[in-house]
Amino acid sequence: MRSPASFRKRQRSTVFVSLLLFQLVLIILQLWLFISALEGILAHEPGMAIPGAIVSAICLAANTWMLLGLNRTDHEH
Amino acid sequence: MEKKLADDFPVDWEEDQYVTRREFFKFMTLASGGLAVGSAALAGYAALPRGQRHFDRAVVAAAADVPVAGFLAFTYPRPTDPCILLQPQPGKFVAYSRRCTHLSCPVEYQPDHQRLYCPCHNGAFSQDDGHVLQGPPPRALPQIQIQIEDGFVVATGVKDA
Repeated sequence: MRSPASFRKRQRSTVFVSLLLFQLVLIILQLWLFISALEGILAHEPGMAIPGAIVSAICLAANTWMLLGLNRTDHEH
Repeated sequence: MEKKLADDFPVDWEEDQYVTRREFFKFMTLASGGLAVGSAALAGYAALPRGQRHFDRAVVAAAADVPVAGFLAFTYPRPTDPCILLQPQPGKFVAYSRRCTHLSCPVEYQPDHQRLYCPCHNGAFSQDDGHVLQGPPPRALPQIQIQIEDGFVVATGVKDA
């Protein structure tokens, strides 16, 4: 029979993998936004650039928030 | 021999190259920051005002030399920038870059159709403001800003579409 500590460890591992996958999704989104903005500028249609930069900054904030949360959790344990 | 090697290099190769999930997470956050900075740089570049560019004034031709419903080829602002000066109606002059915005083929004036035509891929632009009438060109022809001074047509700048 597994101990509660073991369950908590497995649970933390699952949460970590979920966060990692979510971060990958955000980075792929950022990459797509960057390429789209670049293509738009080269096609003399720069309307995508500013909204793309705002969304990219939001993704960065989310990633940083997750990283800080992980560091905080590590220090607590 | 192997023992001596292990003593000299005590760190295991696989262990040395091992990247933990947390390190990977930090690296991805760094990559995210790089992409955000890149996007911000693109946004800053896109926000730069560049609708109209001023260059040195240059006399293109005497207004009397341009035939009505005809054209005159010239270069502006550099000798390698082909342009075309039109007089669709008596006393009305317009000038455009002669490079098609699709693949830079030189456009030709067709007064019968009131358009500038690109024979490479059947693109056409309006003679009035250079907007795209047909074909694959993605944007209007850049317009050359001109003034009439003492009977001469003078180019003063370039206005992008």
